[in-house]
Order: sequence, then C-alpha cells, then structure tokens
Amino acid sequence: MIYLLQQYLDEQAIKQPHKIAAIFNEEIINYSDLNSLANQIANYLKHLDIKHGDRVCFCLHKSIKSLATIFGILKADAIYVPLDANSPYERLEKIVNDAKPKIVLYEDETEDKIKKMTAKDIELYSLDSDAVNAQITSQSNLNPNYQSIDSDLAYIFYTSGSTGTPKGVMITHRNVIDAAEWSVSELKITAADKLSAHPPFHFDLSTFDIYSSIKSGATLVLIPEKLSVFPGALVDYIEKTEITIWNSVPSLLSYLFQAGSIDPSRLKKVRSICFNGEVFPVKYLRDWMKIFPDKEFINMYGPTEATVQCSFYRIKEVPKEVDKSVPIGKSCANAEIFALDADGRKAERKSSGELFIRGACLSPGYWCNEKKTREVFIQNPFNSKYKDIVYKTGDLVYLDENGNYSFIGRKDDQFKRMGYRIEVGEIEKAIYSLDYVTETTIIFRELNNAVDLTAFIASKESLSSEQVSADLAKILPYYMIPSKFHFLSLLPKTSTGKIDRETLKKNYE
Amino acid sequence: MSNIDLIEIKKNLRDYLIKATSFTIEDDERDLVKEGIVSSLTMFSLIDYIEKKFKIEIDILSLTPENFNSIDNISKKIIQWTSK
Repeated sequence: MIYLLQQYLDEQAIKQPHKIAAIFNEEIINYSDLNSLANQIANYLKHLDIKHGDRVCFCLHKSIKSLATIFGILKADAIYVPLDANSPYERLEKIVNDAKPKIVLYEDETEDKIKKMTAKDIELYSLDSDAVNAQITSQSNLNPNYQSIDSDLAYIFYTSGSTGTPKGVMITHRNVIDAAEWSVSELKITAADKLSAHPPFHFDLSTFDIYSSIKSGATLVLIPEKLSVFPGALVDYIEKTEITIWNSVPSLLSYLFQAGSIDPSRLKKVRSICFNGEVFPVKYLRDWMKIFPDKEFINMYGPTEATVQCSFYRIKEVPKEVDKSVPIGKSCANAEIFALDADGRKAERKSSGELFIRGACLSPGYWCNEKKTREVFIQNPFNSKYKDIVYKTGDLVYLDENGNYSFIGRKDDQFKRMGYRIEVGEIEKAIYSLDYVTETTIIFRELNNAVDLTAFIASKESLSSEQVSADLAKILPYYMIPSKFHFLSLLPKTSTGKIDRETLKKNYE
Repeated sequence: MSNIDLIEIKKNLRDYLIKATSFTIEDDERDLVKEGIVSSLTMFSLIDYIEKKFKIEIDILSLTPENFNSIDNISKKIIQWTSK
C-alpha cells in the first residue's frame, strides 16, 4: 500500500529496475539508478542532520539531478521547497525567510543568488561541488526507513501574495497521491507512456508530470527550459523522445502554432494533449484540433491550493464564438467543485458565481499564515455539523446547461501571465519600494493571448520606462514586470481617496 | 547589406533589447534565453525587429538554443543571412 510519494519510486525500482525513468537531453536514467541516487541524496541529507518535517529548499534548473533531489528530500522525511532559479534573489530570500529551511541546495548557475542570502541558521550546499558529490556518492544507496505519514507535507510551493510576500501553499503526500490516482486512471497512463515535464519544478503543473509518470512506471521526458523559445527545436525534441502525453500551459501550444511548427506528419506518438494553468484561446485550439483530429485534448483546471487539477474537460468540439473559452468542465474524482452566487446560493445551470472547491485535493493551508488560511479555506456554508473545509478560489465561473463550468475571470485583482498566478498587489508593492516612486497602481488587460500590464507611477523625478523596468528586474521575475509605464505627477483619486483606476483606464486606453 | 558592421548589429540588438525587455546586456555572450530575457512572448517581436531592420526573412523553425541565444550568436546569424 503506497502512502508516501517516494514509495512510487521504491516500487518501480523493484518492479522494473532497467526501465528508463527519465530523459533529459542526451542523458537517461533507469528506475534503479534514479532510486539509488535519490537514496544517496536522502542519506546525505540525514547525515547533515535533516530530520522529519524539516524544510529543504533547492534552487536548481530542471535536470535529472534535480528530479533525484526531489525524491531525496522526500526520502529524508523532509519537505521540499523549490526556488525558481530564474527569479531575482530578493524574491527568493523572502521565500527562504518564510519557509525557514535548514538547508538550501544550489548549483553553479544559481550560486550568485544563493550566496547573497543573509538569512541566518541556513546551511548552503552546492550540488556542483566535488566535495558534496563525493559525500553523496559515499552514502548508502538503500532506501532509508521512513517516518513520514501520508498527512505530512511533501512540498511547499510559493505563489504570488497580495501583501508583497509570496504565500507558501502546503501540500501533503496524500494530496498528491489522490491527484496521481485520478490522472493515471483517467488518462489510462501505463508504463508504455512517455510524459512531458515542461513546467519547471516550482510550478504546480509539475506535480501532474512527475508523480503520474513515476506511479505508472512510465518515462518522464524533461523538457529543457530554453527549448520553449525555439519551436522548431522543441518539436524535434518531442518527436525524438517519443512523448505520448503532453502537458503544459496553453500559451506554449499557441506559440508553437503561430510559429508554424506543427504539421500533421509530426508528433505522431503524442496521444493526449493536456493543458492547464490558463485559458486556452479558442482560435489556436481550433487549429490544433483540425491538424490532429485523432488526438485527445483535455482542458484541466486547478489552483495550487487544490494540488494540481481539480476539474477537467475532454474537448470534443471547440466553441464557435472566438470570445468564448473552453470549459474547465466537471470535478475530478478527488475533488468537488461548485459555484455560489452573490447571495451565497449554489449557482444553477446557465448562471454564474464564484468557484469553491472541496475534497481530498485541498491543501491544509498556507505555511505559517493562519490569517490568510482562514480567509480562503472556510467552513462549508452548507454544513454546520462537522468540520468541512472549502477553498474560496476567487475565480468567477459560468455553469452551462450541461453542468460544465467555464472560467470567466478573477474576482479580485489576481491574474495569470505566462502561466503564473500574479497578484497586482505584489507588483505594486515592488514599485512602491523604489525610492523615487510616490504613488502607483497597476492596470491589467487581457489582449489576445497575453496579459498587458500597465503601471501608472507618480514621482517628483522625471523617469524613463527603461530605468524603472531595469530597477524592477532586480526585485521581480520577468513575468511580473509591466509592459507599459505612464508617469504622472499625481494619480487621480476617487471620492473615498482611493486611486481612481477607472479614470486612468479611460484616459489611457 | 553584405558589409554590415558587426559592431553596429550588436549595438542595434542591445538597444532593441533594453527597450523591449528592460535588460541592459553588457556581456555579448550572456545566454538571453536561459536567463529568461528572451521568452516565447518576446521572441516574435525580436524576430520581427530583426527582419525589418536588416530586411531579411527569418525561418523561426531553424533557430536553436545553440545558434540564437546570445548577442554574439544572433549577430553572427544576421551576418550570415544578410550576406546571402
């Protein structure tokens, strides 16, 4: 009986030791070797005094070693906290200060960022250091004894937070096991499959790829991060590695189509195309389905707080209207979704409301943030008898006549850009932190397939877009930097003294 | 366009990248893709800029992380295309 994520790997290493577990560029590793490496990393972490429930951060680019590191941390009974190797160090430091790990693992390429950290009582180890590698290889490659139980945390993923500090979403072993049970059975994933691992390991979509693949003894094909920019090279890689199940944010698929990189003779082995993380523009989906009528297209939906996907929709036909979005469908087996209207009643068919989620997919809350947890993980309003938590997503949805939900937009000021969920407040805080800024507000608009972010900034100094965006690039990841700037001496206000965003919108559109 | 100056091309690219992405690129060998400076969202606009500026047509599918990842490599490609 599997009750911990690392047991998926233990099991495959016995069942099919020589089967290829993962591919990355020219590098391949079988289940036996992946398990041995993960065990050595786990035993090394234990040797460094990592104990049950400790957090271990890693700032590593996607690779076979970083995959083994994930399992190594789990096998040491610890909780993994991935740090985005491409984020500025200031953001990483905020995460480290919040997660309070005992250890941060890094590599040569991320050394500069990690070495800048001033957080106390944290040990830093480079997985590119000869000394560390010698220590790892000297460890036993046998499975350690596990102390964790299924309700223990497996990882903490940080998402954008409105207070300017990222929020850590806690996910348990049980959360992921239930999600993987669903995906493996729904997509009929077997050992013969090859799953893509396109999103980076700090992104919740990676949960689907990694654990569905290892659970079913399939092969996980890690997509080199830089290939996403080169459609020709990416399609070559998908063909060469014979991926059968593709999972990514839809903007990547739109990009491949716009670049003219797909044609019917290619991607022959791919049987299922899953997308998740943002709304798929109908225009490109129609093109994809026309070119590949024999492939299965699945739209999945789920916030990080619901582990990964909590609803799905098998696309049979694309909506006729270009401005409509593809439904997010119905609940997965490990979840229940429903919408409440403005009066708190369950939305009926052909009406809209805010989406709520309950069930086994739900995170226990935010790491060390009881206040925020209580705000959005609330008691089910239809159950006063016993504890029954529902997650208030802030997403507005429409329930159609067939019982399928469709995403309409965000209730508050969160949005998705390049697959990342971003809160306007975090960008505004960052702009406010620049000493020449007196006031600021952000207005975002969805244009075609991208989110257009405009920053309005009041300052006594004369500023240039180049200067402000260069300063922001030091504190924010690239996907949070506004694409346009307007500089004013003062921002207009409403009668209540708030910044008048409507006036700004009207005057600058 | 065959005698276009490499230094001039690099300057154009640097000027364009600071406008489009807000990054100042001092090191011509810096990997623009790996560091997220050129993402899939900005790739089309970069290609569009190069096509217009140097009056060439680029086949996006022929670009790889090895031949189009830094100011150095992109400039070499532009020289190659313009001298055809």
